[in-house]
Amino acid sequence: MKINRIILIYFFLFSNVANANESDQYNQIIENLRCLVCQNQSLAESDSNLAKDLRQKVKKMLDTGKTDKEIYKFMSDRYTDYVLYNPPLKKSTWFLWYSPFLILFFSLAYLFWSFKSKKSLDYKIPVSIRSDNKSVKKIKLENNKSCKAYIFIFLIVFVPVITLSIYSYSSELVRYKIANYFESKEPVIDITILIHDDILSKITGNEVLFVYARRSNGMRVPLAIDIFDVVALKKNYNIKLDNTMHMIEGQTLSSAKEIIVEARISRHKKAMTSPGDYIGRSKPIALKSSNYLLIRIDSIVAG
Amino acid sequence: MRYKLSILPLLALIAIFYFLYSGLNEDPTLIPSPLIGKKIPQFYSTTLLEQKSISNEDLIGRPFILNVWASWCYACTLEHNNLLKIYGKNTIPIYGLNYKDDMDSAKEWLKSKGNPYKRIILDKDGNIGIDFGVYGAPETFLVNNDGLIIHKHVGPIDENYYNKIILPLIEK
Repeated sequence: MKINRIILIYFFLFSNVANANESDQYNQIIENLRCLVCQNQSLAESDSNLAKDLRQKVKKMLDTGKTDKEIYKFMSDRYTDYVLYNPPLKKSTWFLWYSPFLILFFSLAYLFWSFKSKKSLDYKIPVSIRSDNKSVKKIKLENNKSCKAYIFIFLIVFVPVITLSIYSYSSELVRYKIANYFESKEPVIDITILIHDDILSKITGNEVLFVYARRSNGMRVPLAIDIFDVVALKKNYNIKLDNTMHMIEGQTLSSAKEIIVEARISRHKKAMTSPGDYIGRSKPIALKSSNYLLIRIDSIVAG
Repeated sequence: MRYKLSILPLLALIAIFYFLYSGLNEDPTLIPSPLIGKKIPQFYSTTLLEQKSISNEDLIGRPFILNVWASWCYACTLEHNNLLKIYGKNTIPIYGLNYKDDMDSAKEWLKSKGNPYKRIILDKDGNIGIDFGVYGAPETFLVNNDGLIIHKHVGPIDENYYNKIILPLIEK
């Protein structure tokens, strides 16, 4: 019993924390990489074969301890900066990053200059006309009018152009997130489950694997659940959870703000967690239309 | 003068629209390869027909074409005749990279259509493809005798590929 607990603590302290971070890191990386064959989808969203391969590659590189930077560099070395949703600032992209500010600067300078030249116009009015009060007023009035027209043109033409270009050049990630926000698709969770080697060696093939999502606020009711037979020596499983896999009417993935996914291998084939089960869980995540998770089964439930 | 200057914003707007419009005609799926001018990536694999080991070192030494293909790829059948023609000219070897394919159907495919390849490198899981920056078959790389990639073509090659691309580049 004591040994079990020590093992559990060990796993929690050293592997679970690190792995939770890693799966977070994984999700973040594949969201920041563009799928190359399907326009405007990230690697996380795409179902294309290439995207699957590249996701696999990212996972592998993370497993071998590569950093985010190294992974992004690996991808852009092969697929150019196009693959990055946040392209780096380079000489060739300098114009893209700063053109909105340049336009703003020049248009403000232009506006300022045109105001100034109008002021100086007053002094250039010939004396003969200046003596005539009425015509001076008329000219001033006309100047005023054209000033308003300038401001009007500025607002109509430049403001939309500037905002649009800032919007489109700043970050495609922002655009995609905004677009994603308005899209209310049913959530699907794509889960890769990895079994720790030490646990794998103890598996006989008579176990059952429960995979379920539940609310992160503590409610235990599974919002989606699936059950599989465990195969001896099989290290990873790919599983999908969606709205149809609910247990109680109305308690679906869509109804939860934040969820946790747990994967549990049970020798006793019981729905309730029991001592001796092997377990792994994700960090709390807010669901989007498609979600990818990496869960490692690396802890033992203590008895 | 003032009124003439007021045309400037309009010109700027037209210029912006022109760039936006010209962007519409570009093929957004074409990605320039960052590998051009670089050495072919390292790989170790086996050949499809002989089942012998093959690595990047085995290819380097003279100019060659590397053609990424698969039996599931429809566009590959479109370019196949052009590859056979290049093979018939006997001036430059063509290596095939059998990308994420089933070995038996790949062999079947070659039997029925003819084999223009000197050697075919197996890439069952697509990992060599990733290193070559492949994002869809067919893709064709031209490599010079130092093992540097000097040209990349995405999609089926056409009849002019040999005369227009290969000849001028290997003559250099």
